[in-house]
Amino acid sequence: MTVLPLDAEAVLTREQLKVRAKLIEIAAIFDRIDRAEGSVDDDVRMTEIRESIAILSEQSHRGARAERIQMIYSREFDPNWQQNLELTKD
Amino acid sequence: MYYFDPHIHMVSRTTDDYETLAKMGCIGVSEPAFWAGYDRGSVDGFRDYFHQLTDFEPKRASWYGIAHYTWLCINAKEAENVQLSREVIAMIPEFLDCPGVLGIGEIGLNKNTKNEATVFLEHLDLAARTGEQILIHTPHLEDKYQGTRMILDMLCDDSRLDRQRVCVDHVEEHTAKAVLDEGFWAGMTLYPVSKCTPERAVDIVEKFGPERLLVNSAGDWGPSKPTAVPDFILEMRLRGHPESLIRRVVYDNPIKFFSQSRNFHFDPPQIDEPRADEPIGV
Ligand SMILES: [Zn+2]
Repeated sequence: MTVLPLDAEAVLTREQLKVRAKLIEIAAIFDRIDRAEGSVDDDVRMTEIRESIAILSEQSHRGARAERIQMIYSREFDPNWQQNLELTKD
Repeated sequence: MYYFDPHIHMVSRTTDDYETLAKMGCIGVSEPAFWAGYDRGSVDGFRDYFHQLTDFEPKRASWYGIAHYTWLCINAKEAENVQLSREVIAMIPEFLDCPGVLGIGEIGLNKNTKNEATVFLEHLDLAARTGEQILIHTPHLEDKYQGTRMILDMLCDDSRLDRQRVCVDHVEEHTAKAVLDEGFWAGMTLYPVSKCTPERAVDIVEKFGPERLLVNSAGDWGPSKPTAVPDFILEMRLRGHPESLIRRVVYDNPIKFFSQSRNFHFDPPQIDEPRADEPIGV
């Protein structure tokens, strides 16, 4: 691991406005969905979004939040994929 | 700072882009063969494309003092056509002795199908038989994790391959560690929409260190930014990382990786840049 030249407070100072802008952007998108006709409460994509938001505030994911959210958006890996695809090397 | 872009599709870019890259410090590019946006109808279509990659592109790059290298293959998207893929794989050796051909690439998976995996394995076999280096494309978005793991399985199953001579590209937070842990090189692609941003690429360098990591723009015909590597350089600098670390990732590492190819010949320019401990602009 490389030592970070900036301490936590310096990183926060540098990123705070970006985080604020992104949070407001997400809130505005939710508001837009609310204002629109119909419901997406049961849409799997909303489930993914809710799970991702939960990860942001869970202490257990500290230092690995981006990776955890990536996995929410990833298809499962089956270690037996070669047999399942009947892949043969010739 | 001088840098290499180890993955950029210059056939899709204008000559003005070469000029801009040169002005930003780019002194070398490597261009893997890829999907042109449409499926080619015959092996001759690929032969023409390989002529362009090995003849005209190096010429165009040289007008701006940029060294041009290339990788040859049939990409994962067109690999769905196994018959055509086999014809292309049989034709590739015609070009392997051309100056600047670094190896086989960018091979890989797209939707992680059986046909893609079959053609991937046949490319690996070609590379193993001819002693070529390998550059690998990993799928996008929800297919990336699964496809990267499948690719690692196939690579690790082939004992003929030297892992130091293989680069698995387009890694992100959830795939970088597995690639590096297995001893392969890993490429981070900076894209404005999908894949990694410069900020997140710097995070990955901070997490794993600079060893066997490359940064590229993968600039092509789609939304992409050919000057993304300078964005990465700037972000590293603004976070206070030393020039020596930045240079290692964007300059020393690509040269180290490419130098394992018999067709890599490069005259490095005289580098007169501030040392790591010298403040910039003094
Ligand atoms: Zn590419």
